[in-house]
Amino acid sequence: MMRMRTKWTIGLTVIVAVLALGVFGCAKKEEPAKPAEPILIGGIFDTTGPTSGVGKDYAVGANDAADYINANGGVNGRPIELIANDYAYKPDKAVELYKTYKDKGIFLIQGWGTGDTNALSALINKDEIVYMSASYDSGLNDPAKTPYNFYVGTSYGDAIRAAMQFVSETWTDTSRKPKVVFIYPDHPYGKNPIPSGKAMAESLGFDIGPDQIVSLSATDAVSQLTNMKKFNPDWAWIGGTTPSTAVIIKDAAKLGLETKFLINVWGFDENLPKLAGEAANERAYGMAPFTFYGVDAPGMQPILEMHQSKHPDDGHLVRYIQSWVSMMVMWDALKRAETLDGPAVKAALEKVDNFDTGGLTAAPITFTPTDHRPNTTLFIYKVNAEGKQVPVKETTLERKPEWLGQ
Amino acid sequence: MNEIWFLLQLIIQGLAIGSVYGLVALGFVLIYKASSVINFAQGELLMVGAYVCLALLTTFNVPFWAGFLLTLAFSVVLALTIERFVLRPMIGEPVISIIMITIGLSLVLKSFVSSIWGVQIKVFPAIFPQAPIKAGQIVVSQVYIYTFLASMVFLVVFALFFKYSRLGIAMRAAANSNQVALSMGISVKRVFAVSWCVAAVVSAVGGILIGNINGVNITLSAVGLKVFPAVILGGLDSVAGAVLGGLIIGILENLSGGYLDHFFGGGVKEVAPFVILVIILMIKPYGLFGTEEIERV
Amino acid sequence: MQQCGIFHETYQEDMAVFQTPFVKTGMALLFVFLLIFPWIAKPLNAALRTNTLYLMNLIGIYIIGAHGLNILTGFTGQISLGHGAFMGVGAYSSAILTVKLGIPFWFSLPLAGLITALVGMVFGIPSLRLKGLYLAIATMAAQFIIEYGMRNWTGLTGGSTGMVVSSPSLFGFAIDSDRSYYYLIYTIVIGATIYTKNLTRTRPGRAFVAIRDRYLAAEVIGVNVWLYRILSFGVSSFMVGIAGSLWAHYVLVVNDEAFGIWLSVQYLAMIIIGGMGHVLGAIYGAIFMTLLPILLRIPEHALTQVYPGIFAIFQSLTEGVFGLIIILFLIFEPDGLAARWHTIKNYWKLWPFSY
Repeated sequence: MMRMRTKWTIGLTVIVAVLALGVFGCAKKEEPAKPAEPILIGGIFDTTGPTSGVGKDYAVGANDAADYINANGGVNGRPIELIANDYAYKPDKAVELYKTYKDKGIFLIQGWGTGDTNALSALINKDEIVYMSASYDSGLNDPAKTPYNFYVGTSYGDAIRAAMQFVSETWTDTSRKPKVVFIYPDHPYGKNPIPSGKAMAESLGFDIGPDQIVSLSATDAVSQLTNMKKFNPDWAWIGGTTPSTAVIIKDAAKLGLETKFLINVWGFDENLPKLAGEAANERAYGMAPFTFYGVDAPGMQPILEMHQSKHPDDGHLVRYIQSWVSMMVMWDALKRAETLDGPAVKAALEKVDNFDTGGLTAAPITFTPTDHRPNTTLFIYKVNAEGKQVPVKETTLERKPEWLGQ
Repeated sequence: MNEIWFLLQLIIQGLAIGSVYGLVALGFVLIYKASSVINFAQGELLMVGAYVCLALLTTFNVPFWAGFLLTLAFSVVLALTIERFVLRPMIGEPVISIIMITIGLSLVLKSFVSSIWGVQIKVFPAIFPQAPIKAGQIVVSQVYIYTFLASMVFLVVFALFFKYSRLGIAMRAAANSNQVALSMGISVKRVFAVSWCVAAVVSAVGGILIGNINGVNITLSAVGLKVFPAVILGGLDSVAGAVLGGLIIGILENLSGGYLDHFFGGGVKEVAPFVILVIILMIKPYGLFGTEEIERV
Repeated sequence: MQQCGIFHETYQEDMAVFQTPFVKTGMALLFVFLLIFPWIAKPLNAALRTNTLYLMNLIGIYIIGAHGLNILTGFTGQISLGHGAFMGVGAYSSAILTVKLGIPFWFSLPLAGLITALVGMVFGIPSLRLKGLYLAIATMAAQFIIEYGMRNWTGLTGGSTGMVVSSPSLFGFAIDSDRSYYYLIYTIVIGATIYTKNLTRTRPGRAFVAIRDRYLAAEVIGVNVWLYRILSFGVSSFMVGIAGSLWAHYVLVVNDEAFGIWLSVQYLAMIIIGGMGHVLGAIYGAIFMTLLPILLRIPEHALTQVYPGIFAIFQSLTEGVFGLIIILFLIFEPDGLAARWHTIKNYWKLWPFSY
């Protein structure tokens, strides 16, 4: 009996050992030695979550930009490899991906949302990993607090202030002040810029109505808008993404509201007139730090070429441009970095001075060691009576030091 | 805007949504009555119906009436498949297994939809007239009126079906007692299958109606969860109760959204039905019209 | 492989947790394996395309939570669709205690468990009147209400922004790496497993099982059904609260979206697939449910290399595969992996003379 057991134990151990070796062996086989070791770039994108309506195209743009960089010499001869993963807009999943990337020795990450970027900012500072987010949250542009965070779009705080400035500039009725309401989803992306906007609106003497919360995945906003109708504002800010923005605008039309809408960058793109239909006409105004896809600009040429060679049948949005610009700025910094690690790339990014995006952004991009605001200029678009999105004006906000990080 | 008008406006919108809840709750109660299955996939049946109809209308350019009928046909096939291959083997299993299998089913249906159509909002081509109707200070979108009317028509049709058709009577008999129905020569298996078909059909109708309001996305299946407060309020095994419960929940949720959002920072609409649910369970667990269960050792 | 019969001569032997030398050796080997695992995990990373140690830690956290749900559902027969939210209560309590009140992790961990137990017992009150599907619906409502609280009680929970928490430290040594946290988690996993195993041999444990099997009969023979049902909710929530606290200080960011109904469903799926009412079931289930998406990612990755467009489709299919596996298990293996393991073991016990 006893010997029988021992035999079995030995046998089992051998089997386990063989299996384990097999697994390890396979693991090794998967990584053939490459001539020039690529520079790994982490990617944290949302392609299935609540912001995937705008996130998918962003991920595609980043991928294409990586191919473009490699086709044009890479980083001083070394190719880059973008490891893109979906995190479905879940901060905890983003932390998991971040840890995986960190274990791989990655020192630069292209990230996504406001909530997760904020959650990660303490970690990335500790680990000295450069994080370029698609969140243009103002809280991330003060290097005194978040030295390793960068982004290339005009900050949400500046966008909402520019929106209020626009309302004030276009206001003609001298008998009363404009009435404004803020509509936003219960997400950091929606909520964070609101205090800046309210402070600006107050300083301009606007009448501010009660906030309305409309979630990113809403399919109706009727009760919120019915509520808003009591106040009947002239202008309303929408801090959502395109799908929820379309829902709000359609329901506003259904309720016969006269309010016009100022929409943050992630709520205004080529899909909006498609989803909102006629309801958007002459009602929707977008705050746009980037030009739309396909606009005639020198910077658009490589994008159109990439598009032709890789997926000529797909349509693209302004989101594609956003990630493209982020990757181009990153490329520029990587080429100039003295060594390939977090602090050196950070230093190189902070030397980005009037980076010319070829007309893809409203203004060139500049970072300094004390100010990570890329620029303070935006286009204001509107949907005109024919349902076309046309630029109304280009607006520049003062680069006030007290607005840094606000 | 006058406070009374505001209240009326909320109630009217609530009625329209509530009528869809009522429809879906009807399907839910039917399945429960016939086979004691708590269907957590009711909302997904609704969503699949809406998406199939949408695909027929937009991708295949089918006229609305044909798309509508084809969707109902699809729902019947889907329901028969589900009943035969998923629920039939589970007859006699404990409650938790049944609950879990319908949850599994809901995941499968949801991923079916999201892998084909994605998770983002899709818009129905306008079927009902778009211009809002004004009555006094109330502005109501016509979609709501049509939704309400269509739901009512379907409810009447089903009421007549149960009252007068042979199959409807057989279903009521089986719901009353499977054994007695069996001994009277009614095929209980067939009743199970038909109850799933009816549930899928009413859900698909509900899905198409809701989809017409603003479009469909993956969160549409959450309507299935709103059914629980409705049926618990009405009584789990009461058809009339389900419809009434649906209407009441629709109104209450809209009212709470309209009046309480300020105090709680938004989203009250989503949670209010569940608070109501817990309160009902605490004070009157078998609802307004449900039969009380009596247990003996 | 194993003795074909077990013969007990004393009560102590009969009550022993590990009854045969084979099991004892197995347990010792398992213990050694767990001890050295962090040092041999690295080569697995490439094969699984993930951070293996991170995964192992998640499994550990889920095992603790699944043990909790197993006590409630597997032993006492009370269905809960709210354990995802209860885990969130544990995570938030711990975050609030450490961040806002400055209480050290080592005290806030058990306190988070206690707070969750309290919340669990409050929502367990309907179980006194309700059972089966009514209880499932009541706990589902609890799930949504707690979720709403986590999202909207901004002053306390930080709202949708969530809270950023810090890693614990022991005698000045920060437990902030996957490896050090691994040892923390698995110490608790072992404790929780022994506790759960032991619970079935105690008076409350037997009362739980009696209530599950026939609560009216249990009441007749003198089991205080009221007390034990609430107790079961309490113990169960305590464990899931501990899991939540561990999760919070591991992931370092607490947000409401992590504790949705999906997590509750996953917990239920864990104990159903693992085997309800078996201590090992919770462990198998937690391993299975955590590994499944990772294993699905391997063919996904291979396929996306070939057809890039398939990427998004595959990701949405993962959930469907979960659903399908739940369905298939319920139809073909309703007693779960633990029962299957038992059958296989019994077969080999008498091999080649099995009947």
